[in-house]
Amino acid sequence: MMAVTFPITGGDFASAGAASRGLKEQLTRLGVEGEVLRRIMIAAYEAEMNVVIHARRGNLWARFASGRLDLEVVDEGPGIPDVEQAMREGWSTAPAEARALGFGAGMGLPNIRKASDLFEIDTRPGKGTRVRSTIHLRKLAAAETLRNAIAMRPESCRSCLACLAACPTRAMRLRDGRPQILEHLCINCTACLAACRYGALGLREEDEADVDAALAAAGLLVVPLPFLAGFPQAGPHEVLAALRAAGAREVRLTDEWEAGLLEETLRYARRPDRTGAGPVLAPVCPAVVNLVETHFPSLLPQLAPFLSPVEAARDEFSLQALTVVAACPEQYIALHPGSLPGRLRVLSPARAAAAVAKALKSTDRAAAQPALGGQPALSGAGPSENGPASPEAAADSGVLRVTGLSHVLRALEKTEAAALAGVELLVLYACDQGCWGSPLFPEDPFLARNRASAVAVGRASAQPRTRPFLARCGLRLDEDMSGAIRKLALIDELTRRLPGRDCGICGAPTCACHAEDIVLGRVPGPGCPLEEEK
Amino acid sequence: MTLQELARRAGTRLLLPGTHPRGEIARVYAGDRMSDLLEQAGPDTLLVTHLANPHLFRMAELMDVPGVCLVQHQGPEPGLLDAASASGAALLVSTEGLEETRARLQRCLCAEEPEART
Repeated sequence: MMAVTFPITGGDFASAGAASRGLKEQLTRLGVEGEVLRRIMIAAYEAEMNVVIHARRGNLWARFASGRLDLEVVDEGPGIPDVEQAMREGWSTAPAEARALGFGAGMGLPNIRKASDLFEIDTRPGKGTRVRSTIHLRKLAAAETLRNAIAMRPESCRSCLACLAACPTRAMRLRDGRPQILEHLCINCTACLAACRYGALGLREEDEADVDAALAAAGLLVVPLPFLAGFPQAGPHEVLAALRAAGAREVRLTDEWEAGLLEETLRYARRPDRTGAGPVLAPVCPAVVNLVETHFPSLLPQLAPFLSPVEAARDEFSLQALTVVAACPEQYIALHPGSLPGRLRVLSPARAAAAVAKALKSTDRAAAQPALGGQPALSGAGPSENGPASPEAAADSGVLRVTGLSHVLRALEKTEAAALAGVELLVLYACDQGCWGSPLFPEDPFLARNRASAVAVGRASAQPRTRPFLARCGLRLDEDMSGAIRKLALIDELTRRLPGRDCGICGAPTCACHAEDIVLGRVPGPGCPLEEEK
Repeated sequence: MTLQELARRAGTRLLLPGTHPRGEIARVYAGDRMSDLLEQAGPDTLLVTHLANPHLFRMAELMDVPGVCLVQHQGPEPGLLDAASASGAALLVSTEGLEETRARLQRCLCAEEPEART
């Protein structure tokens, strides 16, 4: 995270632009360039000139974190009596001196708004003005298009239909012997990965760079504790030494941010001014957040406004070269936006494990040091019964921890029905045993946890969210409402005509899904292949 | 097209060559309001304006503008030359008006013959 402040002197035209130039120097050093830098400079320079032209003094403050720049320019000036008028292009109260220089055309605030992803203005006549602008490093829309990180290896698929049966949101299909995912339904929960015994599903990796090079290039490596404890042939500290031997200079645990998040969400759940009924949902597992956004939008207000642990880790080190070992596809997705290009690499556990195995062969195991990164040794409690967590939260009776998606679904249904009396904080993990049970970790979760019991986890600060949780739209049956109603009736009718076995032979998980696929033209077939065969 | 080539074809005087690494011009924008120039400025844009003041060059530096063409100008003051030099932007001057200069530069960019020759 970078934060800088530059003073601005009102009326000092000789120095005007110095604050924006200082900001540009900082951003250029961080590698910000191109269109993003251009937009930041437009916003900064316009805001700075407004202070020079209209105010006595002011400050330009900028913070760069989470893949965005927050710019705030506060002045001690006359304030703006009518903001709506000031936002109109061409409206200006600039003096003649400024107009003679080409300023004061009444385009300053409109230009800042146009250059910004988020724009706010707060002004009080006689007191001053505060202009806030947020500019994202990458277009949010582009970041959001990457919603699925599950790679298909159709050549390995045996058409066993296990993934169809396992998917809790009925996003899986099997077409021509190949698995398919309906992305608008997928929540990246790993249920299909866990069900697939033949390796037809895995983690999509975009970065094919050499793992050793990735580790060596990273100033910092963040790994989940289950990864560190997932090697039968070596203890966590030996794995740590192997990672260092492979090139990682500092190693931190994702679990540190998880512990911090749980502590903070418990505090949030118990704050006296909290409004709204029902337990607070800890956004600890991003796949569960996806599930809420997709299937339980009524619970969105109950999600605590914090980043998930991997997002918080990414934010804390957004200015450094960082490599993260993702515990699941959704962590991969969550990490994807919000970092400077080229500074964040995400590795699958399998690729990182290969580097560890190689390094273990040549590592002096006796030299393994029992300390992680810059943390002051390994103190405190180890992983709790249900997963790594804040010891205080783990021991609290107001905290309900649920792992495994079928249980999570029931817990969310009960939360919606206000049937979880006495629960203040709900901590939900999509995988059985929490991240320990991720199908990307081959080791048995109980054995791994036992191995990790010697490792104590530090606690890193939770990071507040700036973007709200939003309900995700499902697929519309038709652009036109009457067309959608007609298609819905067709789906119902067709579902009634199908046998209702939900056997998956047709390639859809249920007869109702098959009916929908037919009506929406995803499959040509008129009915049930099993019935047709008869 | 390089800035030098554009200046030559359009018949404008190149007073300072600038230090922009590429110096390639893809578009021309003409205006006399600082906000308009700021919004349109970019690393491939030649700005054309009457605004002969140091603020113009500070803005050009911020926006990585490769060159500025001052119109209806015989030659800038020494102070302005210093500001232009510090900004790294090339400095051109044209004796013609704003629209005339813009149109001429634009035609040259589009690989047409400059008006003076046709």
